[in-house]
Amino acid sequence: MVNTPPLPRADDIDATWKYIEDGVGQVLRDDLAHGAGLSSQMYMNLYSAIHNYCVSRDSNRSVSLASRGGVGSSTRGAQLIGADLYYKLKGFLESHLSSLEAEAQPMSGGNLLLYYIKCWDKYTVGAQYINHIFNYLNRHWVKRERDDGRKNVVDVNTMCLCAWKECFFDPLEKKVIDALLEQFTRLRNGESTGTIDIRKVVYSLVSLGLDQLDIKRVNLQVYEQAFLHPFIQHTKDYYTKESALFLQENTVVDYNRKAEQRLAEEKGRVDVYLHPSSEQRVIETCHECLIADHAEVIRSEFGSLLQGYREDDIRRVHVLLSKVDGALDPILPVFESYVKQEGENAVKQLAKDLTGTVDASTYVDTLIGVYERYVHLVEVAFSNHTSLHKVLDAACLAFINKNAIATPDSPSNKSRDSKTPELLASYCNTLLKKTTKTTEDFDLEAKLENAIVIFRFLEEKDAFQKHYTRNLARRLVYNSSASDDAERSMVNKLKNECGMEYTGKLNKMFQDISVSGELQEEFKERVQQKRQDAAASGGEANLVDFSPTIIAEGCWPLPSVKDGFRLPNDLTKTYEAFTQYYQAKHQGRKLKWLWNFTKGDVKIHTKGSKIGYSVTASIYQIAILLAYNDADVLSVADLQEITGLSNTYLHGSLHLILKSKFLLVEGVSGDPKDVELTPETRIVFNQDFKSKKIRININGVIKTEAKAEAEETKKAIEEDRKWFLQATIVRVMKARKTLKHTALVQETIVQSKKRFHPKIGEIKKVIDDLIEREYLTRIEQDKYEYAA
Amino acid sequence: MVTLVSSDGVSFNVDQKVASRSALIKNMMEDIGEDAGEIPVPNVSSNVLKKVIEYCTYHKDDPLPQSGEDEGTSAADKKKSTVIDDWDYNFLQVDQEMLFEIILTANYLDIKPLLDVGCKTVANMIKGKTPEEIRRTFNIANDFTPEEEAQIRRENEWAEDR
Repeated sequence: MVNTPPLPRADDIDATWKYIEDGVGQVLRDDLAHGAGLSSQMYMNLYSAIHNYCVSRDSNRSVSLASRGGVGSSTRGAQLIGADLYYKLKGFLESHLSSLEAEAQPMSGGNLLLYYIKCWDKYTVGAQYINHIFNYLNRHWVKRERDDGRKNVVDVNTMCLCAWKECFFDPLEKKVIDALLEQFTRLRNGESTGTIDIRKVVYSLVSLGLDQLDIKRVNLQVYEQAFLHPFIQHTKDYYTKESALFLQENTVVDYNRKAEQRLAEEKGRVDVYLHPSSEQRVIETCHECLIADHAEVIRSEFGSLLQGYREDDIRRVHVLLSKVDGALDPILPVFESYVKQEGENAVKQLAKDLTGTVDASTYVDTLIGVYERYVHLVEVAFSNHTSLHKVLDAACLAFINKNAIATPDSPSNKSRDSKTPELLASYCNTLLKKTTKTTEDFDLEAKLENAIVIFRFLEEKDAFQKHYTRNLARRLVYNSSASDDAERSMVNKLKNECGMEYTGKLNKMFQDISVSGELQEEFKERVQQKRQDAAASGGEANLVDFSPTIIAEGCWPLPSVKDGFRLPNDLTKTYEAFTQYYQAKHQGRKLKWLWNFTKGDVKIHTKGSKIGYSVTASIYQIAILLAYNDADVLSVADLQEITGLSNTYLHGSLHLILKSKFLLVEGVSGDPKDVELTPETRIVFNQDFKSKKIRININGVIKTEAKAEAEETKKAIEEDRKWFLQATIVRVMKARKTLKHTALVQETIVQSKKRFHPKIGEIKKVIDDLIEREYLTRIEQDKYEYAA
Repeated sequence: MVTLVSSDGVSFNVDQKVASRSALIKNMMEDIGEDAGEIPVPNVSSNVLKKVIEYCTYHKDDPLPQSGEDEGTSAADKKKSTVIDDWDYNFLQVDQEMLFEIILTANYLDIKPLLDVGCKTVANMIKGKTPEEIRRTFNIANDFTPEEEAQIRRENEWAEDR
C-alpha cells in the first residue's frame, strides 16, 4: 500500500490542489478497471481535502470568489467555495486529454479505434472516481451555481465528458469516424472486425451528447451529427452500388432473396451496434436503396411468379414492396386481373368440356376452387394484407357473376342477367335434398359454407333468393329435405349475411310446414273417427288417407294453375270432409287447391300380379288411372272429358304413364315418346304389365311445366325489382323532397346494392312510371320533387 | 463487514448495509471494491461516529433516497419534511453541540435523511419562539441596536403570526 501523505491545510488552495492533483493524476493513469487504483485511505483523504477546503472560512478567499462568481452570487447571503478547485480540475483534465490526443495523431484505422477504446475505458472509469471524490463540490458549489442560472457549470462527471469531447474527440473526429465506417464496410462484406468493439465507440458518442440545461436528458446530437449522418450516407453508397452490380449478374428472384437477406442483416447490425433510435432511419435508407430504387424491376417479375404460383417468391416480392410507401400499389391491378382471368378461364374450360346442361355442383366447385387457391395465396404469401383481399374480392366478384357459363355470349341471353344465382341455388338444392348417397354432416356443412362464400360475391342476391325459395318450397311440400338441421343452418347463414328481411319468407315457410304437421295429425284422427262411425252404422266412409299442407299464398312461390281439373269421385268425399273441417276451424279463410303439387299412392292390380303394384303418381295421373276402373279402353278425348285437364297437363301426365307402360297406345308397341297424341288416340290398360319392383314412382316433371316455371321466376324477379326500386325512390324522395336526376340514380344504386345491381335504364323507367302516377313531378330539366 | 476508523483512531465494525447509508462510503465501495479494508473517516471523532452509526444501523433497511435535483416535490415528501418520527426524535435528544456535530457529519458523509432530520430538529427549536427566546436557546448575544431592530421588525411585519 502506498503511504498516504497527510491532509493539507484546509484554507490553503495551492496545497490542497497539489494534494488533489496527485490523486487525480493517479486515477487517470492507473488501469482502475483492472485492480490497481487508490487505497481507501487515499480515496477518503481526497474527498476530505475537498470537503475541508469547501467548508473552511477564509475572508480573503471569499472576496476573490465573489469577484469571480459575478453579480449573481452577491445577492445570495452565504458564499460557497469551490470554483478554484473546479476550474483547476478542468484545466488538468484538458491537458491530460490533449496529451492523449497528441499520441493518437499518427494512428489511423483499426489501431486508432483500439487506442480510442482503451483511452475511453480508462477515462470513463476514472471520471466516475473523480466525480465521486468531488461529490461534495457537486452537491454544494455546483448545485448552487446551477440553481443561480450558471448552466455552463455542470457536475464533475459531465465536465469530464465535455472535456473528452473537446480535447480528444473533436480533433480526431474525422479519423475516428472514417475508421468506424471502414469497420462497417468490413462487416457488410462478411469480414471480421477482430477485437475492435465498434459498439463501444458508437455508444461513447451517445454519452457525449450532453445538454447543459438539463444534464439528465438524453441528447443524441453528437452521435447523430458525428456518426449517424456519415453512416447513413455510407450505407446508401454501399447498397446502391451493391444492388446495381447484383442485378446486372443475377435474376430478379435471386435479387429479391438477396435484398431480403440484406435487410435482415442490417436490422441485426443496427440492434447490435447502433442506438435504437437510429433503427428507423437506417432501415429506411436500406429500403430506399434496395427496394424503392428497384421497385420497377421487382414488380416486373410478379406476373410470371403468379403464373408459376410460386408462393415463397411472391411472398418475398410482397414483403419487399410493402416496406416502401406506394410500391405495392402497381401490383394490385396485376393481381386482380390475373385472378379474374384465372376464374374466367376455369369456367371457360368447364363450358368447353360440357355436354348437355351445366351441373351446378361442378360449376360452383370450380368457382370455389379458384377462390380458395388465391385466398390461400393472399393469406400465406401476402400475409393477409387488406388491399390484396380487396382486389381479390373485386376479381372474384367479376368472374363469379360474369363468365362463360353465367353470361354466355349467345344471342339468347340478351338480358345479360347472370346465371350464377340460379346455379348456386340449385347447388344448395342438391346438397339439401334427400338423395341415396349420404353426405357426412361435416362435409355438408363445409359445402354450405362454400355456398355462402360464393353468395357473398353475388351481385344479384335477390335472384338467388327467388330461386332458393322456389327450391325450398318444393323440398318442403314434397317432404324431400335431407335434414331439417341443415335447412335451418343454411337459412341462418343467409340471415347472417343479409339480415332478417332477406330470410323472413323462408322462416314463414318453415312455420307453415310445422303448423301443417299438427293439422295433419288432427285431421287424421277425424278421419279415423268418421270411419269408425260409418263402420258402426254398417256403411263405409269412403275417405282416403290425406295429408294436406296448408301454406300462406304470399310466402310460397308455388303458382296455382288454371288446369280445369275435375277431382275423381273416389276422392270427393275426402275433399269435402277436409274443406268442412278446415272452414269450421278457420272461418273466413279461403282455400286454394294446388292440384299440380299433389301426389298420391294407388294400387294397380293386373292379371299377372296377385298383390298388385304400389304406384306413386301425381293426382292428374291418378285421375287418369282411376278412369280405367270403369273401362279398358279410352280415347284421349274421353280422358279429357273425365279429368277436365288442359292439353298440356293431360298430355304431359299421359306421356309419363305411357312411359311406365301401365297404359299403352292401342296398336303401338314401340317407344311411346314418338306417338303424337290426338283426341282420337285410343289408350288401353296394360293387363300384361310386368315389373320386378312392387313400388313404382311414375311421377315426374312435365317439361313444359319446368320451362314455364323458369319464366315465372324470372318474371317474379323483375317484378320484385321494380317494386323495390319504386319503394327506394319514393323513400329517398320523401326524405329529400327535391333531388337532381343523377343524385337520385346514384342514391338508388347505393341502396339497392345489397340486393342487386340495378341498371340505369331500369331506374329511369321506374322514375317515369312514378311521375305518371304522380308520386313525383319534374320541376326542372333534371330535377324532381316529391309530390305525394 | 467494513471497518470505519474515526479521527481519534477508534475502529467500528459495521455491516456493509449500514455503512452504505453514507453515499460517500457507498460510492467508494463501489469504486474501489467491497473489500476496501479499513476506511478512515478523518473528520469525525469517535463519539459522533458512534452516534451516526447508531442512526445508520436503525435505518439500514430504509429505501435509499432518490439522488438528483428533483426531490421533495411529491405530497408524501412534503409531509415527510415536517414530521419527525419518534425514533429519530428521541435519537436527536442530545445536547446542542452533539446535534451540531451530527449535522456536520451527515453533510460530510452525505447521509441525506440524517442531515434533513437534524436540520428539522433545529428548525423546530426555533419555531414559535420570540427573538429573545431564540437568543437564549442558542446562546446568541444581541448585537443589533434598538433602531436596527425596529427597522427589521417593520420590514418583516407581514410574516408575524397573528
